[in-house]
Amino acid sequence: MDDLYWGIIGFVAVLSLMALGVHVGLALAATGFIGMFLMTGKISLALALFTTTPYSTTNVYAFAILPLFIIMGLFAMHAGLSARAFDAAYKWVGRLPGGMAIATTWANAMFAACTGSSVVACAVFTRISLPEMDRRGYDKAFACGTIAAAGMLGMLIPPSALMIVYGILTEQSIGKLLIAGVGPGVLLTLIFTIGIVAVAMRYPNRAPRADYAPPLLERLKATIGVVGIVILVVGIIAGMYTGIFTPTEAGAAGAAGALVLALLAPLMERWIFRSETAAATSGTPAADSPDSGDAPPSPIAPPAGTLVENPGLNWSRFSQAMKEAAQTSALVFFILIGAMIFARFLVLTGLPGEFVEVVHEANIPTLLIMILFLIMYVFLGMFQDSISMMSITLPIVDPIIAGLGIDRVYFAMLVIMSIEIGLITPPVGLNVYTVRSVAVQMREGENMTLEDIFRGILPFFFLSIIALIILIAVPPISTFLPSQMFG
Amino acid sequence: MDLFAVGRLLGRALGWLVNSSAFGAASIVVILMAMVVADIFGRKVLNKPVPMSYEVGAFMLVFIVFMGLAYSQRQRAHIRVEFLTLRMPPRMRAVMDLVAFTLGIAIYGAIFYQTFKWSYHSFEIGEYVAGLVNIPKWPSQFAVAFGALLISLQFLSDWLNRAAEVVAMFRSASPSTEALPASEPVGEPATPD
Repeated sequence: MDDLYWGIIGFVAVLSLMALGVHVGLALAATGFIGMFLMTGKISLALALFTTTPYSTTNVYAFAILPLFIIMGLFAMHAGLSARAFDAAYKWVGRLPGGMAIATTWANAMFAACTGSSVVACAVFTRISLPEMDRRGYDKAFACGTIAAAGMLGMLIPPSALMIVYGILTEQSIGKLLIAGVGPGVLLTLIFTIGIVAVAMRYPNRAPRADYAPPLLERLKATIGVVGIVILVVGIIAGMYTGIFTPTEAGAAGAAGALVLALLAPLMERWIFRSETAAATSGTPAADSPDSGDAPPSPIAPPAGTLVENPGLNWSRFSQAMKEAAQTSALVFFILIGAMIFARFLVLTGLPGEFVEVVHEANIPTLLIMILFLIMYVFLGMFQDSISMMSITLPIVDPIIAGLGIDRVYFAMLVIMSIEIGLITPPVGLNVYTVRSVAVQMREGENMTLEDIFRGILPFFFLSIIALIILIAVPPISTFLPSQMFG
Repeated sequence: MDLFAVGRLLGRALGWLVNSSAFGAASIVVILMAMVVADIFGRKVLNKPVPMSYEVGAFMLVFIVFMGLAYSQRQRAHIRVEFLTLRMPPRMRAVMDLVAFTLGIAIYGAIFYQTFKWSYHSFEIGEYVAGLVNIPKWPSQFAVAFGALLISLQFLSDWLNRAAEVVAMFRSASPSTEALPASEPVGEPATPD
């Protein structure tokens, strides 16, 4: 029983250190080290944690997927995907009530299929969609809310950095988790779409309806802009699904494909979207030159400013992307190394096993335990970033879930969904902060407050809760695809 | 002793090293991508996989992470929970920073010491991963030691900068030195570059 106390003290120590602003990776490593020393009384055993753990945490081929998918996302961004996806989506769904918000959501879903980061998605789409929605008289709070909420898709639709980290922490197949995210991602996209239509019909002044229906030819032309990326994404997901690619290989293939698309992007802009590019450069005011935005916007005109500023790659963008991939990998593994050191200490205390038994003997209904955990994640997500919260909780939570006989992939989807809900909830909704920090630098959103955006996101909060309930009630949404994997 | 000057000096000297190391990490990302793509192509099309690509890929991740570690700290990118600290008075926050940096120096210093011994031992006995080609283990193990050393030095430099600020903060707040304008320039916050 003494050992168990060490485990509990360890938890308290980690949480206190973190609350005091110690880097998450350091708080975990320090607690694991000191705990190991105090429990065993041998400094050599504690130091041994430092010898092997940093190496064994990173010397794994399957984990090399992380930098690869990060550069895939960065290349896709430079290929102008986000703007092209928005343009194409708007041309197809623009007539629907709330068409532009729906286009934002769908473009986000497409963007999410190339990147694994909600924050990046929020930043990119604030720049792309907010001016367009503003121009069409959308309520700014609703517009920002849409963008912040659609950012949730980034972590659900593969590739997702969060799924990769989840897989590493719980020693599950990263490939299965990535594939499992497809179902929940599509579900959330559909629910948001229905929700946006409902809001737009109930409150037409928040999302004025545009009778915007470009001819089929124009729609098809816009679609060409996303064909390359769709083929790439479908290719790597199908490749992973059928077992042709390991997840790491899918990451490399995706990165290389996105690199090609980024290199070709300037040519495509010139040859296929010639006229629109010209319109975009002359008609769209940059954030720092608000004087050129005087032309009265026509509600029927195609969304001019939807093209990324000069898609394409040059040396500085390329090397910047590589540096960013290295930096992001470093900071994720900085936490994971700490998490592994802490986890080894926890196992020694026997706390995870004890928890499993206590929960098992308490005879609490499985569903109730699951829901309690999910509420905890939503709650934690309000204060903490996703990776650190998973690093601290999963060594305990995952064995309990496995012990109760709950499908671990299914539960992973629920956890990630809950964490994402935390990201759009005050006081520290990371997505909302990101949208605001980008919006205030722009002419369209310089007066936005966090309260405004949280108000705008309220409908999406309820929609996500509905999506979470559906996910809980219908496990096959999460489990069907991965269960069919690899033949 | 002027802590601020020492910290600044260390920071500058480290800057070059940390940036080149990050550049190295970035280059390895490119090489990793190229190697895995070549491996897929070789295996599916030419029926000739790149030998030892799994092992080398794993080694590359070690290099990417550890060579990028110090750079991330220099960019202040490592994740911290700032929910409470942002609401603290500046002096208390500065002290908390010092605590965090101290832990960083201690932990990564210890990791450096341990892994350096380990990689040196591995070098001496010639440890390798067996396969088509035998690949020595020590370079990747040494990368851990190198990265740990670099980030602990970066933490040290950050510690010195912050300590200089704390000293200045307390000095300017105490009535005895308040009248001395000479101590003012020390109080300028260090700008992380």
